[in-house]
Amino acid sequence: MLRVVELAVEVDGIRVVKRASLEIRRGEVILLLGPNASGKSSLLNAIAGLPRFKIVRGDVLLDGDSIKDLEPSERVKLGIALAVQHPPKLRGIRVRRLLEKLIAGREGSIIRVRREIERISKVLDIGELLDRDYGAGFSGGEMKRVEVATLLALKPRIALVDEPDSGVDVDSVLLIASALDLMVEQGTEAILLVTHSGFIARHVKHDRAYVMLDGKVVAEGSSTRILNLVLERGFAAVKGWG
Amino acid sequence: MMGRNSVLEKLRARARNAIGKPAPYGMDVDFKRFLEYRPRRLLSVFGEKGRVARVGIDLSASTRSGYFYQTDSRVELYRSLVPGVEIMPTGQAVEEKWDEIEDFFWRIVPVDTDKYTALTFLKGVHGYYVRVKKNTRVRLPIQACLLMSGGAQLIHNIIVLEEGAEATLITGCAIAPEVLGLHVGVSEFYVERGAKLVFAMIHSWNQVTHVRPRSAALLGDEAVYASYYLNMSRTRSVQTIPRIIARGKRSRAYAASIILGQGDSVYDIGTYAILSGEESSSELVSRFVVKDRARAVSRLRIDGVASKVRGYTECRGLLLSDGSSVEAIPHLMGSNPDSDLFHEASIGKLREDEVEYLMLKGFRYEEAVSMLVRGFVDVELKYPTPEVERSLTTMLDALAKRSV
Repeated sequence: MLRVVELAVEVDGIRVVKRASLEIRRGEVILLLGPNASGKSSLLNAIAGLPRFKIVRGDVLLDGDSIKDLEPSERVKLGIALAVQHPPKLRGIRVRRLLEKLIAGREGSIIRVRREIERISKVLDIGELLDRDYGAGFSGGEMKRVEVATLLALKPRIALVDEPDSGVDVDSVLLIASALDLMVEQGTEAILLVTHSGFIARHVKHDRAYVMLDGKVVAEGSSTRILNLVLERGFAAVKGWG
Repeated sequence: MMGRNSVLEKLRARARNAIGKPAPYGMDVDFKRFLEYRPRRLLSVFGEKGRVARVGIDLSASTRSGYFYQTDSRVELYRSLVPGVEIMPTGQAVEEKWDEIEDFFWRIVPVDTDKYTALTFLKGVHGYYVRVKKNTRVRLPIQACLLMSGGAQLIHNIIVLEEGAEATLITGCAIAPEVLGLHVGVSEFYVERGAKLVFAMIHSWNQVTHVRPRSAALLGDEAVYASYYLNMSRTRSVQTIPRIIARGKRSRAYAASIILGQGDSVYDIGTYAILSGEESSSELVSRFVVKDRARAVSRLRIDGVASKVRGYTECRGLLLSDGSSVEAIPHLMGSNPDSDLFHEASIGKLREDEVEYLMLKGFRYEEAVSMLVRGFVDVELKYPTPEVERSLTTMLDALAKRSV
């Protein structure tokens, strides 16, 4: 479905991803593990198509076709959506308004859009945040739940989820995990889940894992085995493994 | 009480003395070429439905409580559709209702404020007189359209809300494209005890028009006055500092100025609130979005004179182009120890991370910018009726789209 082939990515001339190859197959939940600053977020941003993350080598293929020259909006249309690690605050843009716009892209009827927002807000317990400015005064957990809500609103084929468990309370992690399960139920074909703590992985079914160290994908294999190894012995233990 | 002729003569003498007096702010405008200008095509409000709709004017009477339409110096149509609301040309009111209008005629905007007020008086009385009678609560807005074919349009409006009255007034001003224009709009608002007035002024000019509104509002005890000014057109220059005199005890004022500056437009726009009523309050906000080579100055001033007054100014500027500029000049003056006055000001550009974030959610670059601009101008809409809220929301949506 989605293949990342020998990718190298630069930001402002600095190589942040040196060599990354991975494959996301239909029906899979993939973990992307790695310590801080190993290039995980940069890889996701490059897959999502942010122009600042310049692909200088390699390719990103969706169903065999290169998408590396497409705008981010075109990639979203093809079904690739990213929940970022640190969403910005958006002054004057209410959460409800943003979700409405995202859902309206695929649902024509206003009634359906409203119904969908109600459903999403229940799943992620964000009802009280809907009429506030996006991110303004939100706790870490609230921000992450709202961010995952944008994915539910977009209903992507492939969801890229960056560190949904960092700086988040347990209750929020549980809500996010159930939202990810729901995404799969409602048609999302695959999820690439970035985590450096592995916390979210306890609450989400997963299939395989990749490990990034120093800008390179260095290991791939059973997510359970890799996760156990990492949690016991650290990331260095998996270098060259798999 | 002085006779009408005597009052007019005294005003005339003061106006003549002030005809060469420039405004303290903004570029000076030479009247001559505007007074002599003869437009090739004369417009009419009903012939320009699209143009006037863009400044909030709905010509289907079903959505309004009354209307007043004037093109250049020609009154086209006016009518009150509800009891308790009186609408007529100011000139007619001076002729027919002098006893009623005398107390409101050039009382809070001095005729010798500057050359623009002086010229407006000396060139005859145009504009509208609206009076909402005691305890009359008007549900639908009253609207006034001031349209220009070109040349000089000199307007004097008087709006009186008697005790306990409530009304909303939308004034839309527009001009034909590519014609010379000078628009001077003097407006005097009298909001008496317990009355509430929401005033929305929406402008659409062209790049060779100069605009000089000269307004003041006088608030009685527990009166409420909310003013919204929107301008999203290229305009050669706009200079205005409407005054709000919150003389009444516990009177409240809210004023929001929102502009999208484009091309070579120059704006010098402010609001000046004088809190002379005990426990009176005011909130003055401005949102200036500028692009191209547009320049904007925001002057928000509050004088806290009486006891227990509260005042807040907030000026925010958003620069969309390298050649554009915003200058924020907040000014607070407190002369009473228990006054509570503060201000906030900020100027900046759109944050790249916010644009990128929205792009990641599937919006194209232009859509992302437009959404962020819409968020930037999303000021609190205080006291509006649903009709005005809809109208302002539509205008702000249009402003955001035009910003890209």
